[in-house]
Amino acid sequence: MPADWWPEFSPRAHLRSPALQLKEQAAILKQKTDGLVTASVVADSDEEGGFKVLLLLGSPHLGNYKFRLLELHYPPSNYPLELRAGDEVSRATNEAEFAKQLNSVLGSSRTKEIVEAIMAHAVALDTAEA
Amino acid sequence: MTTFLFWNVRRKPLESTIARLVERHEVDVVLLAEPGTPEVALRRELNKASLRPFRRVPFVAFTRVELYSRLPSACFGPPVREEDHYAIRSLRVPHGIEVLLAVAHLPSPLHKKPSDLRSVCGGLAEDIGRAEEEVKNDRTVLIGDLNVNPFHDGMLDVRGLNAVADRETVRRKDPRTFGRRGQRTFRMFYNPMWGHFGDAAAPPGTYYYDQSNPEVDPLWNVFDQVLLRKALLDRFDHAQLEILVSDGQVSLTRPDGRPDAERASDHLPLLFRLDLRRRADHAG
Repeated sequence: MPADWWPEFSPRAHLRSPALQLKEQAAILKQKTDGLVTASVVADSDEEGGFKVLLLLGSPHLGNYKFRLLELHYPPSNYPLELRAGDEVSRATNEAEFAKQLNSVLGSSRTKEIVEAIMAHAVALDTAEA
Repeated sequence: MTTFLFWNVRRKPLESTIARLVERHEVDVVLLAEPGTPEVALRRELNKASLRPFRRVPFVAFTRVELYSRLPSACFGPPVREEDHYAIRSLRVPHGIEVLLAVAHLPSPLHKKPSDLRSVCGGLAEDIGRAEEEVKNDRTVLIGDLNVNPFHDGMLDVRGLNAVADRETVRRKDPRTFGRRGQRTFRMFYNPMWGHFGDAAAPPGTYYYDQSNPEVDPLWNVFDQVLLRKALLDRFDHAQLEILVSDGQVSLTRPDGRPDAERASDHLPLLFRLDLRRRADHAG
């Protein structure tokens, strides 16, 4: 039997990537707005070899329309992460800090106004189509 | 010709001045950043002298610029991309071609680091590119208070707006391509505002600011800009681009030439015309 020269691996499955957390919140938004507002998570690479992930809002009633709600930049190890949302830029060094900042952005009056504006347009178009 | 007026009115009730500018220059599309007049009052003033009534053309969730037009409402397509600081939608004038109209009021440099402003320009460029791909139209015009000068990194970076000073370079080099393997291409803009610095064409800019007092400071700035894609170059005549200093009755500048923020706004209005008529050789 050859010797095992590999290190002991600790599974990281319990770690949730920032993109996964956005996808979870996207699913909640769809449910909370009865499908009027949807959120999509779009991932790309950034200039520094890390990830750039966008959270885009839309509606099935508004065709190709997308509102760029927030943008994350993070390395393959997930942290440190930069979160850009409207006029705000914040940084997180771990999952707990990111959760706190994401909570703050999604729960903000800015997000509420944007989602309500999309809902209002979607309802108006839905009514006009009916 | 379709005539556009953009003005950051700094939340001032300038409806009479705006109406005089619209009448004097036969403006079709009015774009106001930091609007200071309620919609009803502004439309009442605009429509006093106009045979074709102005209507507000709403965006979905973008609120930093208001759009009014006397073109039929059906000329404006629904917004395809929005962010807090910009919105992108299509415009097709009667018997004309369809263009993408990107409208922006980017964050103030007083509250942002230069690197953050560069990122905002990058996001705007990215969204314009995605909108162009989705609607399969690259006849894009970007108008707004970009809150950076044409020489800012975000304006010149290929991942930013990639906007250069002369149309021949845009004709020759657009799109710019980098890398031998895994080539990436970057669309360019022509930025005619480069021709509006200093004494070459009065006034020396659109915005004057001298209170931050950094050691490197141009004082006069050209923050209010119009940028054009290659496909619109032959529809734009630089002689039809003006930074306005008077509405015909009231001067918008002080005796020393700086914007009169007391009587009007700290920004000067931007006026330009585009020939959007369908041509015999134009199939799209």
